[in-house]
Formats: sequence, C-alpha cells, structure tokens
Amino acid sequence: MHSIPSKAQRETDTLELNGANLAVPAAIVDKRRSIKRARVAVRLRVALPLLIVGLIVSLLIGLYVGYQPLDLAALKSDPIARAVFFRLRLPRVVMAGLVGSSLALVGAALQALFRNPLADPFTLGVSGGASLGASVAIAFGLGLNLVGVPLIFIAAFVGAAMSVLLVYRLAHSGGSAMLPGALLLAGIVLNLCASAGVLVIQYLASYGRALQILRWLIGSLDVVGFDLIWKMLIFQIPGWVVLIACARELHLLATGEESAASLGVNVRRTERMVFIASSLIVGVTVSVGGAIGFVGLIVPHAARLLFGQDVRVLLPASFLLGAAFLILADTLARVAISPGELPVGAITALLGGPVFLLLLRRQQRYSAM
Amino acid sequence: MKTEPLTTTISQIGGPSRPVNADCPLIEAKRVSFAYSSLPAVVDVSLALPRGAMGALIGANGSGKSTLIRLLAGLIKPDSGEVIFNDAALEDLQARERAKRIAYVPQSTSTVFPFTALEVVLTGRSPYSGRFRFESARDEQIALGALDALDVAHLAARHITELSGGERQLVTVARALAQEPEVMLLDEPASALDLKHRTQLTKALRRLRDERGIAVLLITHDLMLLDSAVDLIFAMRCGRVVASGAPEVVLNEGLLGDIYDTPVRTMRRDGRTFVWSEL
Repeated sequence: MHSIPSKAQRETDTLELNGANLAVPAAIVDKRRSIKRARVAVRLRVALPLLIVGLIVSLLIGLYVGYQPLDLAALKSDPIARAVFFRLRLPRVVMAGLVGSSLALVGAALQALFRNPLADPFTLGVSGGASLGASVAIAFGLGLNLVGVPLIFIAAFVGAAMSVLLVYRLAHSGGSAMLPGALLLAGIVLNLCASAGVLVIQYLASYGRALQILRWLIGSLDVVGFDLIWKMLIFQIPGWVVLIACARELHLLATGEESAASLGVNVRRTERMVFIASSLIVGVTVSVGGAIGFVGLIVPHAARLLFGQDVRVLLPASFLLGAAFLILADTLARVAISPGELPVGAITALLGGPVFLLLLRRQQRYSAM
Repeated sequence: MKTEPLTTTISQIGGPSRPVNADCPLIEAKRVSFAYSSLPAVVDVSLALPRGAMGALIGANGSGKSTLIRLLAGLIKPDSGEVIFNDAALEDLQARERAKRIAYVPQSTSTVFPFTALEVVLTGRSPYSGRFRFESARDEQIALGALDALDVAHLAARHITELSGGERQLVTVARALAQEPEVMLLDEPASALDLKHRTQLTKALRRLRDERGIAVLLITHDLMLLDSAVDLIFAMRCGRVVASGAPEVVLNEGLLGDIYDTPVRTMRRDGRTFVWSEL
C-alpha cells in the first residue's frame, strides 16, 4: 500500500478482515488512544468502582447528617439513640437509595427504549398512572395486604402498566416512526388525565380516604423499620434484573429500531419485558415514596456525561448514581430548614426542571419536535 | 397504491452482464406476497440474487421496493411464499445467526443520542458477542477496518449526531460491513449522498463484492451509475417485479417509462447508459 517505509508506516498495524490483510493508516492508530477509553468493558471497570465508592460516601453522609448528627458513643450506650438510628434513620437512607436507584434505572431504560432523552417515569405519565391506580385502590378501601403485600402496590403496578401501554400506543399511532414530541405530548396528556382522575376520586371519596390519598400522593421516604422495604424489594429486584439483562438489546435499540431488529434483537419482546419491568418498579416505588420527579431524567444524563452513551454502562451506572443522588437530596431535604423538613420531590424538581429545559433546547437542535 | 394491471406485459429478459453463478442463488424470494393491513405492498414476487452479485432494485415511490428488501432481510414475514437463504428457509434461521450473514441498512437512522461513529459500527459486532460479553479488541479492529473500507475511518471518534447526512449514511453502511455478512441489503443508501460520496460508496460496494464476494442488493432512484456499477437490475411496479436482468437490457425507454409512469429517454455513450426524463 505504501511504497516507502516511513515512521508512519512502522506505526501502522495490520489487521485481518475476512482473511484479507488491511493496513490501518497511522491516523487511525492515533485515534485508538481515544478509542481505548471507548471500550465498554474498560469503561465499566472504571465506572462501577467509582460509583460504588460514591454511593458508600453518600450513605455515610446520609447516616451521619440529621436533626442530630450521629453520635457513635450514644449509639453504643443509649438504647433510644440506637432505636432512632436503626428504626428511623437507617431505613430512611436505605429507602432513599432504593427509590433513587429504581427511578434512575427505569429512566435510563425508557430513554433507550423510546430513543428519547427526555423520557422518564414522570414525563411519560407512568408515575401518574401508578398514582391513579393506587388512588382507586385506597378509595375502594383496598388498603389491605394480600399475603403480606399491600394491594396498593398491585393497583399502582396495574396503573403504571396501563399508562406505559397507552403512551406507547399513542406515540406509535402515526406509523412505525415515533416522533419525540408526540411521545412527550402523550405523556403530558396521560399525566393530566391521571391527575384529573385522582381529583375526581378524591372528591367522591369519604373525608378520611381523601386525606389518605392526599398523604399517599405526597409520599415520603419516612419509614419505620425495614418491613416495607422488604415488601418493596420483592417487586423491585425482579424488575432490576430484567432491565439489566436487557441492557444489550436496549443499547442496540438506542441506535435505531430497524437496525436493532436487523442485528437480531426481538424488538417486540424487549419492549414487553422493559414495559413490565418498568411498571413493576415504578408502581411499587411510587406507592412507597410518592411521585418523586426528574430523578429518572437527571441521573442518566449525569451518567452519560461521566461515562458516555453506551447503554450497557449507563444502566448499572444510573442505578448506583441514582441511589447516591437521592440519598444526598433527601439528606438536604431533612436538614435544609431544620427542625422542619422539605419534601424531597421539591428538591429533585428544583434541580430537574432546569436540566429538562436544557435537554429540550439541545434536542430541538438535533430534530424538529 | 395503484393496482391496475400493467398495460404491457414484460417477461424476464436478458441475463446478468457479469458471469455470476445463477444456478446457486444466495438469497431468493419465491412467490412472496405481503400486505400492510389489507393494502398489498408486495405481490407474488420471485427473484434471486446470486452469490457475489451486485443487484439494484428500481421502481417508483410506493412500488414496494422497501417492503421487498425488508422481507429479504427477514424483518417482516411474508403473508405467502417464502424467502430462501442458502437453500434453507430464512424463517428457520435464528435471528442472531441471520444477523451474522445478512446485513440490512435502513433508509434513515434516527439516533438522538450522541454515540460515536465507532460505537455505532461496533453494534454491528453484537451478533458475535454475548449478553454479558462485550466487544473484544478484535471486534474493535474489524469495526475500524469497516470504517476504513468506506473511507470514513477519520470519523471514528466523532459523534454520530454531528455528522452530515451523507457521512452518517456511510457510517451506517460500515456497521453493516462490520457484521461480516454474506449479503448486504441497502435501502436507498445513496439518497443523502453528494456526488463524491455516492461514487465513494458505489466503489466501496463493488470492492467488497470483488474482494470478499459479498452480494449486494440496493434500492436506488439514481439510474445514472447503475449500468457500470451493478450486475443485475430488478424493476418493480405496483408491488411486482416486472423485469429483471442485465442493466443494458432493463434500462430501456419503454420499460422505464412504464415503471415510472413518465416519458423517459435513454442514450448510450462511452459504453454507458444515460437516463433522463423529458419535462
């Protein structure tokens, strides 16, 4: 290929492709330095330990900071201090972590599935659907347990699943191509309908139940003991496993539906799996923590900035980063106006709103909405 | 879509211009029909693409070209008839196995996420990697080689969202090449390309045919380069393949005028066929 051996050529690698030797020009070899970083396995190996350390740090901060800072000596000697720590503060921090990781993971998965950077459980109306489902359950007095599992969880799951299906149908009705604008509009419409439905139910329900719905809607990460957390995990863990297992398909889907299908992805099956898993996670997460917005939006984008676009890195990274993020946000909520408390949803919304607008602006440059 | 019968009946005419072994077709449609909810798109089509041949699919908008190529790619299943790949039913081939042998380049790619060009091309290696096994250094080299084969290696680290339509198109073809397929099916690969890139792509596809024996079937509306580029042309009208054969035979005024439903003129010069339409 080159007649005169040069320094550049000595640096030239050869590679085999279909049995034919192809010379790789020096320019590509230079590029490889940046490409080394691009290799997914390498990126995962960097990202995961970093994120785990970050999560541990935020856990410690969350456990230490509070109405009264953690006093290790008192923890040993004082049974009340011990009870406060193990029955209140620890469960609350764990709850914040689980809610944050779940919402962020679902957000990252839905963004890849819908090929829309603005998708998240909140913007797509999935949280709204879950709220409606749960409100119906409370209004009919179904705040009971079924084999130890709150019926509200199941009602919220059904509500979430129905809204995912509906939003998908609406966005797909124009043909196979899904416009990002159409998807978000469908999500907005769904959210409006769901909140209208909740209002009607609240209006018709008895005073006590209406109050119950209201308190439920606001949601809280405040839990006593680990009971509720175990019940929540029964739903969340299978959802997490399915979503992480779909990472490869989701990565291919994020680069285009047609090409993913031609690369061997069973698109409909992947969609179904992700829908069910997301509804399961969002239903139960919203049931416990209330509709905490924008976590599923901000966290995956932060993960993208840190570790790149590869969905196979993005899903576990969002999961860990989401936990750390909501633990810190909740810590801030607990101490910002101490002795009072801010709702953590207010803090995530204050952070998330501007991020959403920024992303919207950026996306408009890429594609006409 | 119009469904009135053809006014002139055109039978299979001519033979391939290049000695291609027509006895062993690599991919073959046998009396394939497909309808989008009762709207017929492909009607009783039979065609065969020999191993190592380069074919073009021409026809008016809405004549069923894209549907036919999607049927051949196994993305949709025919309502009747069947697609044969390597003497076996395409339907029986596992999706992952299919992806190692048949590459498909869609008409447009809609990526909103700023993947790098290399990341996009690497997805072409996914049929060879596992659920929890990522691409190896070798996959990476093959992806880089694929970019190089299309003369776009310099784009490897660029974000796909920042590329021009033509560059993006070439990267998408490189992804198909990274699949190391036996046949590449391309839906209007040159539609977004300027003259230079169009020539670059055509040359690259011919080189792949000659050096690696990759069969190519592409949809095109550009009739100018066809006779020097391809071995076979399949002409579609109203969901049917109405003519197939060597370029010099298919590219005639009567046939083209009929397919495009508009007066078409052709001229031979320097061994090439020039096609234009009268205003």
